[in-house]
Amino acid sequence: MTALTIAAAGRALRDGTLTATALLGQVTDRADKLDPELGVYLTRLSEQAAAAAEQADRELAAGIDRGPLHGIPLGIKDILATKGWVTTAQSLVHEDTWWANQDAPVVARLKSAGAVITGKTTTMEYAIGLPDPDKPFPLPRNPWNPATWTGGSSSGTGAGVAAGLFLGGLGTDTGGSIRIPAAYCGITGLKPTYGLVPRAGCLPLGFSLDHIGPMAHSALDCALMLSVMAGHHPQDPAAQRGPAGVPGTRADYAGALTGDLSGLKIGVERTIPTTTETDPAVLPSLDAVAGHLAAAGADVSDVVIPSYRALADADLVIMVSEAFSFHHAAMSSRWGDYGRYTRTFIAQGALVSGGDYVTAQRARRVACKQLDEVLSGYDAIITPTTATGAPSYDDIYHMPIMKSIFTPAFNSTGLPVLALPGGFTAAGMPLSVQVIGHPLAEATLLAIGDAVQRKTTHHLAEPEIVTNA
Amino acid sequence: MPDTQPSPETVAEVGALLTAAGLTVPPDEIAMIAASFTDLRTAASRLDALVYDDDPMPVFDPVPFFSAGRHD
Repeated sequence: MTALTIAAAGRALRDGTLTATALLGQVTDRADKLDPELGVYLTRLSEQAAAAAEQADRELAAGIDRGPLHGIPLGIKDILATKGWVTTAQSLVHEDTWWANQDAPVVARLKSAGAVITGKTTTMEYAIGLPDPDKPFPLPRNPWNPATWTGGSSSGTGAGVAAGLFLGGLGTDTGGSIRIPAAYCGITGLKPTYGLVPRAGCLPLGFSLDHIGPMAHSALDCALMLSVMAGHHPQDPAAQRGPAGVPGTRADYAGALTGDLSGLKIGVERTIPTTTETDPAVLPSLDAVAGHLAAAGADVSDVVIPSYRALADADLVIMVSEAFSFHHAAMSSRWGDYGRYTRTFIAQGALVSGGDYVTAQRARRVACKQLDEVLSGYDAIITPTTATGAPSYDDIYHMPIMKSIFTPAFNSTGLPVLALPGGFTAAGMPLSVQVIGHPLAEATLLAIGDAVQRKTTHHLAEPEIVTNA
Repeated sequence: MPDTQPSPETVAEVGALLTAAGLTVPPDEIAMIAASFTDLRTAASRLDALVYDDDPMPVFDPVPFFSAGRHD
């Protein structure tokens, strides 16, 4: 069996072989069977979703077509505000009044496009830390092997797409939180250019590092979602005023996906995975993706990013500082209400001085310029997303996770990065490759991902738990 | 989680910093946070060395410099 994509569902909705109500019924049945084990949802918005699906069916039947997301079930990470339901941040600390009864602009855009929001998905508390068995929230489990972790912090969105509980969803990424669950769950995830998707109505983790992006099975599906999500919004002071920012227009990211990469220069960075814990299948999967890119017409060559370490260091120091700034007051009075792994991570911000923070931002700028000099010779650079497949729940509380992920450095840059399935480990767990591009070059990244996915089927593979459901 | 055990001196230093920041942290969690302290300080030191060596015209730009339309 292969996964149902947004694009395929859209065709079925328009050729009469599927209704939005029937599609919602299918994903709801699957959620009923699998969610108790997988821990995808914090809240299922069943009534709202049914109403949205019925409206989609009426509109499509009447010739009112809102576009590729019309009638499509999507999940929303529960740090993004959704009207009609409290956003919990998966925390006992969070106030019910925050953005009460409002949609975050990105959620409003999805609803205006006719999407069917099925629920709020699990995360780490305030998008940082680790799954906490001592708190009254579901533990997100990887559909490929429920004894393993989904990755985070967009955990429920990643698992939900992989298991078919919805066809796409929203994640956020401050150090890898879209790309890591995309990698571990075998799906595609995009961290867009900083500011391309407005962050209003999204709880902050690192103000200068946060990105909102789409997660779905394919690069094409991510393109369809991004076309709706992207664009300037006055409530986000860092919002881009780039190509997608012209009021009343939408960038057509899917239109760039032709499968032909002729004329593109792509660098392959093999030196980043230096830990001895790197799975032996990681570099071969990177090479396999490079081979597909060359076959699609790209000029592929090796490259090294000398400022990688500095960019990763900057992300750490800046993230803990900015997160601590947001949580300091609440942590001073409600330490025990925060989860253990979330509070001990954020508290590192107390160990960083104001001078350290300013130095980190200055070093970030220097390291970004160094990367720009390397990237100037390429249209994109590819590198592994993680060192291994998804770790087991027995391991995640004891392993040096920061040494097994290759994502945080690229949050420091604000550059767009696409994570796409790159194969599997010997144990059958997904592996991933990330594609780093120039500012506002999402169309190029999505075209690269799409070209790979025209030659592979990793992104359409379904876990056994789904086929046996 | 970090893979090194912090020294008693590091644990004491971290405990003092957390207290000065107004946080009331139990001893076992001070030790958890202290286990990350060395990596954090090492990262900060590397960044300090980078700007000392490579930032001859010091600039402080707290928001990625391509945001706010600078790449239109």
